[in-house]
Amino acid sequence: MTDHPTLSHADEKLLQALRHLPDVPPTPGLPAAFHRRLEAQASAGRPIGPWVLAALAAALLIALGAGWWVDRNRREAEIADLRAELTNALRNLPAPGRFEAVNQAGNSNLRDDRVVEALTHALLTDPNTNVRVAAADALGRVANAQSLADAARRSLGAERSPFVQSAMLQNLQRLSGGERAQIVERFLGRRDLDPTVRSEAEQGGGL
Amino acid sequence: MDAVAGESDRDLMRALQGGKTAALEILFLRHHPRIHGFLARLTCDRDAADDLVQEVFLRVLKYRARYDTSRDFVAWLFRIARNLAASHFARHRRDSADDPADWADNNPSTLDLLIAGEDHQQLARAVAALPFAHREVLLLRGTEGLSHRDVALALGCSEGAARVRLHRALSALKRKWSALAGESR
Repeated sequence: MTDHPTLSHADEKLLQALRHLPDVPPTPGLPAAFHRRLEAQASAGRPIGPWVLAALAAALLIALGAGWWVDRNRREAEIADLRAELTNALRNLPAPGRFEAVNQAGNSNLRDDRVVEALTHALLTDPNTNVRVAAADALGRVANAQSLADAARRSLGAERSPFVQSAMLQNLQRLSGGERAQIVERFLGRRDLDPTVRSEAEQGGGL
Repeated sequence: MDAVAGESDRDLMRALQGGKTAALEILFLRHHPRIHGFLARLTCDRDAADDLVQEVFLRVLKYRARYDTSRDFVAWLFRIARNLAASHFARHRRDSADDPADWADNNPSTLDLLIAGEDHQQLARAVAALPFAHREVLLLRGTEGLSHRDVALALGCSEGAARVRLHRALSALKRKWSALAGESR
């Protein structure tokens, strides 16, 4: 019995033609969006513990201090608060608290070397994948190109999670073509990559 | 992440059933472009496809216990995607209301020219202009290359019914494609 015996030759050719319809690629950043939905769903299912309340309080403080309209002195104080809250969360809070603090730092619009340093540290060392993905997203928003390139080199050289790898690859779009290609080329030298991430790197790396 | 990149889909589903949510992340990275393409063509709405493809994988998580690891994961994924797209259409009523009686007669010579010329943009427009029920079977069998068995699984019908639906959809597509080509001349 053939695969579809009732089809005419023209039908067969038409089926072949259907295999070549124009591609409709997903919106860039869809994996990160899905990751956020997954995380939100997981968070909704968890009971609110004291660490979450502490993280929310910290997030509120950070959000309150995040405006561009304040004067320089107040702005410096806000950056100091953000650094302190972030550092405290990363050192002392469980994963949900660290995740919240990192997200708030990324959304704050406050650019500061030590905040970037703390986020980079979270990206490279935090044991929780979700926190590392949030750190990658945050760095993409608040780090300058040089800091971002340094973080990408270190993360993509060792990171094993495809989700974190994917988030960092998205960030590379902010870098110059030559620097991006250099980082991607080195990343592609790894033998343990997920095929989808490898493909993403090949398509987005300018190689 | 405990789930290892490079594991088969079935192994990842077993891991997910065992509580390792990280396995879902790998499955998403691996399959979302293809499922998104199917949903975008089926709904003719890329933004809706962005949302629906996430819903597909959230349902994989929700119904992970129902997945039989002896069966093909991709076919199961297409079934979820197809059902979600059908619900989307029921809500938004964006299906084509074309009446087959209005379509021009099939002209084999025109069709041969179209196929030979590989006018895939025109073909995509013809597919988009078909009713949902035709479009879904054409995309599953033609564009995605699923076997008749897997098409039937995705559509929730018998394999024989799937073959009949494919045959009818192909006839409709030929008429529509030829008619569109005639209009563009």
